[in-house]
Amino acid sequence: MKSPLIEFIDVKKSFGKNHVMQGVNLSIYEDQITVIIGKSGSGKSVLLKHIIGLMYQDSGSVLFRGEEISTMSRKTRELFKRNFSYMFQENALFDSMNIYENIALPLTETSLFSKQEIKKKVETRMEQLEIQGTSNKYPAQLSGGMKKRVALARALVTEPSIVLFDEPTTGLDPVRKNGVHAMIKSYQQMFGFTAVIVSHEIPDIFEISQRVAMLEKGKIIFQGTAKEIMDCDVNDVSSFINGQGDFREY
Amino acid sequence: MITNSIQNIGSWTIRRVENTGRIFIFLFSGLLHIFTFPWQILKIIEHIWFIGTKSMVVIMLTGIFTGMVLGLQGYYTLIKFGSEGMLGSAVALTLIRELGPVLTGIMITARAGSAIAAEIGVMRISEQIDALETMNINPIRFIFSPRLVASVISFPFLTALFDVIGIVGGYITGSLLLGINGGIYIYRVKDSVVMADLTGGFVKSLVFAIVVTTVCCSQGYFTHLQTRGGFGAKGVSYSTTNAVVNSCVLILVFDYVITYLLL
Repeated sequence: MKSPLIEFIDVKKSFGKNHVMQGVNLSIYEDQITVIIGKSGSGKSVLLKHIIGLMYQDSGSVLFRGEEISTMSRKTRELFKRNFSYMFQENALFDSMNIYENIALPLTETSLFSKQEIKKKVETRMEQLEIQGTSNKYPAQLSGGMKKRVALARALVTEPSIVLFDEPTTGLDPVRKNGVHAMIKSYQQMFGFTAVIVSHEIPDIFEISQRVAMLEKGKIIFQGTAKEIMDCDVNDVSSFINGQGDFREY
Repeated sequence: MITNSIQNIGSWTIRRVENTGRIFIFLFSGLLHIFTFPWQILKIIEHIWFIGTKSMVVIMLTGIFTGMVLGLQGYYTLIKFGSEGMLGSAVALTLIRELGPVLTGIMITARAGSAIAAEIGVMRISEQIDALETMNINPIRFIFSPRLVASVISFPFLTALFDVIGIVGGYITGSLLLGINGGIYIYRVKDSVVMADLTGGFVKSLVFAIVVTTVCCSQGYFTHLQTRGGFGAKGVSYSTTNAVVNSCVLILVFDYVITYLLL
């Protein structure tokens, strides 16, 4: 079996007395779509932020191609980050910039593309995500679903090799939700990027995933294919994917 | 009881030292990134517009009334000694050496500094700063460096504007309203102000520019690390208040230190 692209080994992370990760072990493989599921507040976004170096673990290791992320030199980390794009749960669009400037930002600030090239790339993404005509609007003037698509366009405009999606379809209607899932799948096949998706869209998200991991009480309690998780008879896993359980825990 | 008190003093001291260190690293990183390529000329111009140009009206208003009240107070003080002819010197030196830079700094803090702290604070809590990091954009370079350059350019100009308008204000009160000879007022201004006074005021305005921008930007930037004022919107409001209060206090502290060093 090939070695993982990103690997969590016994990772622990606490915020004060809140022990979010209590020994996470997880493998993410190249060119695959890996979906992370789990209850709200179980630490899925925190896990994602460890991958891109926005947070560092208290103990354990987070490895990228076998190299510890937290101890990378500044230069290596810069090169490492160039591979990534991140789509935030709350979109993290810049309120003071218009939609065009928001999508173009990763290109205008970090690369040496000409204005024309940047314009072409941005317009292509806007067309693919059906947000043409919003260039001069500001994020506050758009609906939740439109903002989601702008954030997605910004995440994909740099043509990254690894994309981290933090609940990419929250707030979208079923048609657009399926559209986004299909788009992630088709881009993943077209460009061959590795995708890590935190999602609650069960079972729809399983349609596009090659690998699923479930985070529960600070640990990964399941890793495997979508078919395997659907057939899993571990109580915590099956009750979660079937939407059963004690709501007071949430 | 005693152990608790010692613990509290210890943790307070550690927090203060940590905060101070963080702000100094923030400042040095911001200074360093001013000189990294590509230059952020457009962003600097944009911030000069916000910090400098848009503060002109408030600076002119403050300047004219400060000058007028100085003229009024100065006249009734000097007339007791039969020295009302010295009003021009009194107004000009007070403004150029002290009130010009200090009041300009405080007014810019109130108008632009608070807005900067709030804007950056909102960027922090809405993960916009995290987004910059994921895009491999240095947030300090993107957020702080252009504002620092814009302030260093804007503060001296606004201070000069304040001084000139203030002197005109003193002229309006002293000469037009209270009847001092206008020629004497202007002659006293020209006669008493020397280059050292202007240099002192200029140095103060530069230092205040760095202090105000660093304090306001860092308060917004580190909003998520403060725990005393609450989180989210409350955290931003706490950071904004802190930014304004700390900037104003530091302006007065540095004013004393610079005056002491220059005299």
